[in-house]
Parts: sequence; structure tokens; C-alpha cells
Amino acid sequence: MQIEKLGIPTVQITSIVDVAMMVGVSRLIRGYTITSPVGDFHLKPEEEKVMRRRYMKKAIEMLQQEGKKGAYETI
Amino acid sequence: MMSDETMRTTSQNHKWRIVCYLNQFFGQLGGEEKADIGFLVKEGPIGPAMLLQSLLKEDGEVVATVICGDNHIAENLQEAVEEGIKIITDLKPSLFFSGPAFNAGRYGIACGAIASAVQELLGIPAITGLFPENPGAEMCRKKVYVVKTGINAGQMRQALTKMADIGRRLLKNEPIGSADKEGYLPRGFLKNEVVEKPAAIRGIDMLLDKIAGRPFQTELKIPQFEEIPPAPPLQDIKTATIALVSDGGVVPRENPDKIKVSQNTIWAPYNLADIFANPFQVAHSGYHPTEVRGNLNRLLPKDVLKEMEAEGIFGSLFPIFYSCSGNTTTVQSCKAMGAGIAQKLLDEGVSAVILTST
Amino acid sequence: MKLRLESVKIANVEFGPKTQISNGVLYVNKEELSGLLSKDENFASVNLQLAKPGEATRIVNVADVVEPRHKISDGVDFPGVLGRIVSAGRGTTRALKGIAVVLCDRHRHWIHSKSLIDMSGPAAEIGRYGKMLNLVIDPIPNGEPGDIDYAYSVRQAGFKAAVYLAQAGTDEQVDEVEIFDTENVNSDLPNIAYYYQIYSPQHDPKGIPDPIFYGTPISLTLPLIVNANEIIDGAVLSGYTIRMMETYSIQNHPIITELLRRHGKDLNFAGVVVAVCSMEPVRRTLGAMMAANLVHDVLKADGVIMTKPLGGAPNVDLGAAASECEKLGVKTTLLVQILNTQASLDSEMLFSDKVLNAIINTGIIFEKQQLPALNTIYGGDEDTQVFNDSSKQCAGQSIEVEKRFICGCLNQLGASCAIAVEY
Repeated sequence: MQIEKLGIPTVQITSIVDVAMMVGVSRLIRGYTITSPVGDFHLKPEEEKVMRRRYMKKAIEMLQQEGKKGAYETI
Repeated sequence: MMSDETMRTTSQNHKWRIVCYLNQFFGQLGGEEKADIGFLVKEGPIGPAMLLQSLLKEDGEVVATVICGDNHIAENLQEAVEEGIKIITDLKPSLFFSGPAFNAGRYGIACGAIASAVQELLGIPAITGLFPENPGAEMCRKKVYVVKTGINAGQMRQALTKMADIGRRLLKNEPIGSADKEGYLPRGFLKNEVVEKPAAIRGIDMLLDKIAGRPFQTELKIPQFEEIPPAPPLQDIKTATIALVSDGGVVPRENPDKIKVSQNTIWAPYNLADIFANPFQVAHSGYHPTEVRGNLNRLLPKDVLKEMEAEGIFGSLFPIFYSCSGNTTTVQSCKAMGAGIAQKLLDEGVSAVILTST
Repeated sequence: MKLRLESVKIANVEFGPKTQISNGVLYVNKEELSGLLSKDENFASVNLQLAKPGEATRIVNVADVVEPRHKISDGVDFPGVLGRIVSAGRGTTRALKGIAVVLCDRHRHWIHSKSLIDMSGPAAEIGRYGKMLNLVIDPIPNGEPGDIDYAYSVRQAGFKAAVYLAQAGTDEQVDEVEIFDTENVNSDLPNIAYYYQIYSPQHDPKGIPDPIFYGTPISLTLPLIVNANEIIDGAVLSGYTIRMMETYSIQNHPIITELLRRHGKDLNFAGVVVAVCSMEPVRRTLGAMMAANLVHDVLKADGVIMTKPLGGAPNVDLGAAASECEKLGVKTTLLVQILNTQASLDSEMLFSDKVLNAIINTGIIFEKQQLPALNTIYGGDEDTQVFNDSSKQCAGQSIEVEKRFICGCLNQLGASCAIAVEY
């Protein structure tokens, strides 16, 4: 939020979306798990990378769009 | 709050049925490594619930303690709460306590969510205990009584004593006084009370204090959260510099800037390539770092971002990432750290940020 | 300016053949007073009743409450209203304490402006007039008189009655004397001014300004300096449609009287700036700036305590004036009412300027109170409507009213001990 205050668009990736929404984050992606926001150790490394890429693609998309408070994206 | 029938039943049985909710740690199952554990029920009081039992021994009996791992519930809040409610319904409590969770974020959210559901869906008085800045507090204080606690379990006894007292009075239909007087978080109501001095005299006295520089207590408060509008979207992604920021507490092995594992106030920049190349540490006691240790990309997605940079999808990945630890940090500290990082990013000409949080 | 206020304590009130005070009991010649007041063509007749604490009596259609007062010297009773305009605030005024004149307005207009007084039950516990002796002036309208005209007649009747009663105390032994005089200033003490937003034109019935300042309308005035003595001595009266600021509470203005009494002790009472709420932004800016200049440059105040009448616009005006004062280095404390019960003490924070950090809350106006039915009704009858936002209710029933309609319960000038507390 403080970063956005200075005009730098920020995407937050966290699995605890409720707190982020409460605080007013406007570009929010739901992280995979608390202990692994953009990864899944059950997957094979190449598959995991594909999954991670989906998150990053979405993040980059959101950076180019208007922020929306009170909402979050799930990958 | 309680139907006449329930009251008659409990008085016949002589003691109320009390159920308590705890996380894996206070439920004595383990630490962070057990945070994924699902719901389980233990008969009778476990851990802090034993103190509640002794505080309420005249009137009630803790018939069961419901335990669940912080991650299990926090990651899928709605479903987990539904699961919990089913379990709690079957236990037929007259009174429900969760926590106290002090300033632990995930635990606090869990305590608040479960207590709220018990209160709203089952109509059973539910009480929890949280440090006022616990993120769970704002979410549940209007639905259940949230006793104000200290920042950590050092004040367990005080917290439980107040929780027990309010619980007892709720069941006996005795009046509960104002938030300040009783020590719970304001529930979103205001009531008129009559005080000794009329407003005129209070006003003149307050003004004299203000002029003299003496402390005074205003009767209307200034709101907590700043309204910050979203930053404008990136105009040209192809030339944008993206930086990574994380509150997962990843630092070089020696932790040169001494980022703290909890109640941290320090942030620091580290070279992204270096942190991947050399041994690192996780200075954050609020989550189990196995997965991040297994592959740091799971917290700092450098691999994918580097590929996307090479493909020209965006301008460049900033070589420095900004690390801090966000475990039981106060709102003030978060704001301060955020502002510090923000200014640095601005100075360095970063266009956008991806912030990963555990 | 020096004012001598002499008080005669009244222990009881009865109707009797001659209006006089004897052993602390006020006797009132009903026919004489009623005859005096009925002369107004707008009245078919005037009922007079006595209401005493503890009685099962409800007074409805209350438009104003006035303390009996009479100028013994150097002045005219209620100048500009009952008599010619001369300055109030000098000489000697005699007041009767422990008894009030309650005015009832039976005209079917402005239901939101009318309050009630119960002489027993919860309303009596929380409303000051339920604990006092009251002479109820209850005119019956003659046909269908015009709104404003009728309201003015009712007020005149009330002030005439107030003077008539106080005149009975002219030759009486005085129980208490207070001298209000702020000539001497002690330079070691802080100078405290009072910013008194007395009115808002948003309340003007039908857009016609209410003559509340020496009987003159001042809805469009820019800030003025008025002597504190004048204000409590009849220069300022309550507006037709303003509740929670009865004339009685202006005559016994809690802030002014407290500042006068503490003058020379722990503060200097620097004076009063009277203002009226602005209805548009340019005016507001001008008013705020001028008020701050008066407070700082003319009154030389170190601090200013500020009140306002009901309404949202007055809040904005108050905040603007306060911010300007703070910019000049004058510390401010503001008294504001709370509207809602479903709220918190930070959501009700109406000013964004962080220097406005000393706020007194004067209670929640919409908080509801259950009141039982009472046997006797003055000022109306069983079918008189008592305002409730969700249902129609009548005076003869047990009713639920918001506290703003219980006369003497809450007060914008700070007379009440009610405060909104977080639950």
C-alpha cells in the first residue's frame, strides 16, 4: 500500500487474501499456499514452472490494468 | 441470546457445555511443521482451555477442545470454517471460546472466523481474545466479543480471565459494560452514558489541557487506516522495470541486517542473483520454510520472470529484491517498512512491484 | 459590561388569587396571566397548567422552555421581542430558579421541531425539565393562523409569561447574587474565547429567517463579537425549529456561565464570537477566516471552545473555522453531537484536519428510549402525534422516541452529561 502511495503499481500475491483486502490492496492474487505463494512442491519441476508462469503472467496483466479494491484473482 | 429451553437444560444438567478452539501449537500438537493439520477433537480441555476450565468450574465444563492447523484453516477459510462448524454443532456447546491468539495473524483470523460462525450460525455466545492490531480483529469484532490481549502469550492468564468473565455473564444474561471499561474491542455500537461532568465543563477543561500541553483524551477518534487510491496502471510494459519485494523473511545466511523472526521492523535490499547462488536463511518464525528452502522460486519467482524478461514481455527484472519479515509486525512497523521500501523503489526508478507474502 | 444576576429560589408553585411569592412558593393568578396572554388574536384561548416532578404527566408539542427573568434596572425585558431594542447584559436582572415556563405549540406545523417533557419515568430521569417545576403555556390556535405568525405568537406568550412570573420576585429576598464582569484580565492566565455558532439558515422555516438576535433575523450575518453578558441576558433566543438549544439553556448557557465564573481563576474569558452557518463554500471560507481573525487578533485568545447547532452543514462550518483558528496558533476544542448508534467513535469523526484533535461528544441523538404511557397530557391530547421514524404513535400510548425529542436530555451547548461510549 505504501508503495502504491508513491505511484508504483504493485501486485500482491498472498494466500491470506482477507487481510490484504481489508487493508485496501487493489491488485491482489491469491497465493497458492501460505508457505509457498508461487509454487507447488507436489508438481514436477517443469510443471511447477508452468504454474508459476501463470501467476506471473496474471501479475503482469494486472500491473497494466486499473486497480480494484475488495477483489482478488485466483489462478 | 440463549433460548429459555437451553437455559433450562443447562441448569438441569447443572453445568454448561463449553467448547474451545485452539491451533496446533496451543493444542500441543507441534509448531509450524504441524500447521497443515486438519481438524481434530480432543475430549476435555487441552492447554489454555484447562485454565478456562478452572476459571469457569462453578458453572461449566470444557467438554471438548477443537484443534486445527493454522495453515489448513487460513488457506481455505470458508470451507474450513464450514468443516469446523459441523464438528462444533455435534458437540452441542452452550458457550464457545477460541484462542486467545494474541498477535498471531493466521491464528487470529482463524479464531475470529470460527467464533463469528458459531455466534451467527449456531446462536451460541462465542468469545475470543486478540491483540487489537491482529488482522483477525477487524474481521470479527462486530460479531463476537473480542477481548483485548497483549502482544504474546505472556499475558495468557489475564486474557483468559476476561474471556471467561464475559462468557459467564453472557450466559447469565447479565449486562456487559462499555468496550473501554470491560476491555474488549468496540463492536460497532455507540450508547449514551451519563458522566459526572457536563460537556461544557469537559470541553473547557480539555481546552486548558491542550493549551498547556498536558495530555488529554479526545471523545471522537481519528480513523486508523489511510485511504490510499490504487496507483495508475503501467503505460508501457515493454520498458518497465519490475522489482520483487517479499515479507517472507529471506536473507543471506548471516542475516547481516538482523531482520527479526517476529515483530520485525527492518527491511533490506539484497542482490537477487546472489540470494539464489548462496546459502540463505529464512528469518521468519511464522511459517514453515521447507518449501521455500526446497525452491526459492516459490517465494521469489526469479526463474519465470527471467524467462519472461528474455522474451521481451516486460522491460527488465530489477537485480535487487527487498526483503523483510512480516510476522506479528505492528501496523505502525508495516507502514514504516513499506514507506521505506517504497521510497527506495522510487529512487531507483522501479516501475512496478510484485510483492509476495507468506 | 457588568451584569448582576439575582436569583430567587422557588420551592413550589400553585395557582392562587394573587401572583406573589411567599415562603419560597410562587402563587400564580391563573385568570390574570391567561387573560394577559389571550389578547393575541392568534389564540382562541390559552390554557395554563402546572407540572411538577414525579407526576404522571406528559407535556407534548414543546416548542421552547424559558426561565422567568425580569430586568430590574438598565434594560428592557427581551429587547427587540417584547420591548424596544436596547443592549442586554448590563444592570440587574432578577431570575426565578427551579421553575421554568414551557411553551406548547399546537399548530400542526414542523412536527420535527417539537419535543416532549415527562414529569416521571425514564424521560424525567434523563431530561432536566422533568425534574423542575413547570408552568405550561398551552395556547389554542384561533382558526388556522399562518405558520410563522403563530410560532411568533407562541414565543411572545412564553416570554411575556416568563417576565410576568419574574416580576413577582421583584421585592423578594434574593437567595443568590452573581456578578458577571470580565473587565480585569490576569496576564498569567490563558485567554479563552467562545465561538458560538448560534444558528443555521437550513432551519429557516419556509426559508424565512428566524428572528433570534434581539428579535432580528441574522441568518446571513458574518461573524460578530457579542458580549457574553448580552447572550445570557436575553439577546439570543432559541429558534422556532431548533431543538436541543432551548432558550432556558441559553439563559443558563453552560459554557458562558462556566467561563464567566472561572474568569480570573484559571482562565481569562476573552469573549464571544457569534457566527451563523454558511450555506455555500465561498461564504464559509470568508466566515471561517473572519472568525479566526476575530478570535486571534481582537480577542487575543490562546484557545477557543466551539459549539454549533444541529446539522451537517454546521459541522463543516465549525471545522473550517476551527482549522483557521489553529493555523493562527489558537488551540481549539469542539463540541459535536453523534448521530447514529450503529457506529464507532472513529467512523463518526467528521473533520479531516488532524489538528482538530480535541473533540467533545455530546451524545447520540438518534438513540431510542422507551417511555410508558402517562395519565395526564398537557399541550395536546392522547391523539397528538409524537414523532417516530418507523411508526405512527400518539401521546397517550407508551411510545419510543429518539433522545433528541426529549426536551432537556441532550444539549448542543454542552449542558448535558450524556456522552457516546463505544460498546
